[in-house]
Amino acid sequence: MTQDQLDLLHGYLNSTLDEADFARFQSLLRDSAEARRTLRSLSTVEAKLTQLAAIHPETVRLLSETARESRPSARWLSWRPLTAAAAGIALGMFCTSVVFGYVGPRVAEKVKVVFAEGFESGVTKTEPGLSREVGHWSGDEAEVVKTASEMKAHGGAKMLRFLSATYPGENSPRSQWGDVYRIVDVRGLAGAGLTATRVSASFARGTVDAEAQFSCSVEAMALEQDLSELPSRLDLMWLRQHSSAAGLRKVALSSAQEWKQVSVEVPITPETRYVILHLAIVQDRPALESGVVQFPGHFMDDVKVELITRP
Amino acid sequence: MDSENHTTASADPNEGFLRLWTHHEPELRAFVHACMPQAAEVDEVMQEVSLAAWRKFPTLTDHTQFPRWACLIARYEILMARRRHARGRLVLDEDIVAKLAEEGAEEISVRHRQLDALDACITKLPRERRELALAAYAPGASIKDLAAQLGRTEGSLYQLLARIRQELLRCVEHTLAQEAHAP
Repeated sequence: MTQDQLDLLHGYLNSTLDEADFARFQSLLRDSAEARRTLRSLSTVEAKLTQLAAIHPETVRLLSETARESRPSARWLSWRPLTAAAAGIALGMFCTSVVFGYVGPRVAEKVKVVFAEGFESGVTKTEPGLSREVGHWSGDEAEVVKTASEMKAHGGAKMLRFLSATYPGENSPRSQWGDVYRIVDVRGLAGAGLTATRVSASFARGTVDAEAQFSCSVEAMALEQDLSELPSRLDLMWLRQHSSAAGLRKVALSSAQEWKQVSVEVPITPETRYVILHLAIVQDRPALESGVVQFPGHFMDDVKVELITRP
Repeated sequence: MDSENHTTASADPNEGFLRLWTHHEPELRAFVHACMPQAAEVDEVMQEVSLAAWRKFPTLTDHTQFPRWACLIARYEILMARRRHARGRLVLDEDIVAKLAEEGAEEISVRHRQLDALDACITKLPRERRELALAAYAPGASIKDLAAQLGRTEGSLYQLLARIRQELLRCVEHTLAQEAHAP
């Protein structure tokens, strides 16, 4: 494609074409399969940037910094609803859950760490299934292991190793997600003002088959219900349907033996009682027709839940 | 834990749908975006697609066909939205939207690979460019405001964003070409 033709595509994406150029652009699209293909690819770039911008904490940094630098007295604060799709989850169709992003300078915010887990003591493995109790790691098979030459813990001497995308007794016919869960009690901790919870965790993979592709995922769900109101057989679908707010971030784990921190931030109401952590490793490729993924070397460390209150 | 996304054995159809939708939503969104690049319109169409797909999900017998099936639904919703916005500025003619959608549906696996490759490509951008791009695409962001904050003209900011998009596309094409030639 010529530069002039590319300029037309970018002008369209920027919404800066005048009437005459828009007519040329439409003519180009009618006649050129390559132009249409390039437009679809450039739109994919835009879709990805939009998705990341909506859920990436880094997004707000430039806006915040530039706002502070250029307008030092300006204090602009806004909550902006994101689409469920932008957050990579589909919740709105089933319930009233809303995913929010936050844009604005982090002025005088109070950060309180309400949960931190480095797997250094206590827990040795996950309990099977999704526990309804506070203080337990549950979910698919995973165990705490010591740092080793092939993989060092992110902090301290231990980390959690994902073993399987299922747990004994689940009898799952097909699964590529290794999920672990934790319920964190935040009753009475959401202060006056706008409170958000930020959940972060670090993930890494050891040396694995180069053909396989994996991602890690951090999801936070805010619950206003009491634990006694939870169904006896709790599952992820129920949590997503009944959470008052939720957010998810999924990131590719591309480099071996490099820790990648992933975080997600979700606003919570003063009525929020619990934050449910859903942390996972996913085998993206190869896709399985059947069977359950056994993870060859995937780890998690330094899980943290913070409450952030902004006046 | 449970079968990830293409499960045909899930007892709960909602769960089966949710997993498939969650897995394929990014490439469907990119597919819609290619036919109507205004973010607000994309959100509107995606909402309609998700509802329509959810209602019709029980009729889909082969869940491996979910992406293609959802594209057909999306194509219909895109055309409906295009008619609603026909009087707007820079609205593509219906025949072009139909062609973009028809060809886009054939490329859904390419979309998936491109989206995967973009994770690494965006990471490779110099920090300033990456932050600028993310700020420009943040929900509710205004190019006019951002340009003012950065002390640039709107025109120069649009040009810079075009260069960043083009750079990312080159990186994606390079990545996919390397994957294709990998032993």
